[in-house]
Amino acid sequence: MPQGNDEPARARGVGLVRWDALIVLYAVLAALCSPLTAPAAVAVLIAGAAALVLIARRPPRRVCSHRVSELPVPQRGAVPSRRSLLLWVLLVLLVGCWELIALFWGNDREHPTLSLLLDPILDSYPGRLVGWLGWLAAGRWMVTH
Amino acid sequence: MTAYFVIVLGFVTLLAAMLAMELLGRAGREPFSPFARVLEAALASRTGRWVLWAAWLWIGFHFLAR
Repeated sequence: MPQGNDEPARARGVGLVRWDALIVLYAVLAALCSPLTAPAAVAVLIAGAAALVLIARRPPRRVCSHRVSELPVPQRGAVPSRRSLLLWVLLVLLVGCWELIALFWGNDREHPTLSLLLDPILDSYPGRLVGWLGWLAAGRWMVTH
Repeated sequence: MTAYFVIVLGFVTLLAAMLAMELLGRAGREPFSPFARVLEAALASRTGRWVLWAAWLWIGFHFLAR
């Protein structure tokens, strides 16, 4: 039974677990920083700088250059169609526009932006911890894809 | 109908639409794709990577630091 082939995969797995542990530890510490304080801003900027370095070091992955309609059916799901791209871009832009409408309409209790609506959650440590974990997990996903 | 209700209803509607698109994409229904596939396509280009990094950083700054 050849076991040598498993070594790189095992090493990658250990590396991933270490990254996850580091992310959880960072989130636990960063969530201690209250919003609207310099430490919170620094914590975001440190994570942002780390992601920047990782993104700069990783070359972009090649995507399939075929049109979706030319691919065999099992592979079509791997490449988003132009229409699905447009639908997602449209929805994200609509959320942005709605946020701007709320911002310029009042940005107060009566006209809340998304961040004002999330304030009660992010004001508590557990809520902030979940926010930090989600944000860092999204960053981890971004730099590993 | 108060302004608060209108704004919250707008956010809920948009988030529900996103959830529906995600579920339809995961179910393999055309022309929908899961959001992760769209992001992967964006990450395949250098410009897309920087745009997504900037968006991710802005989200972190906006919601966690401000």
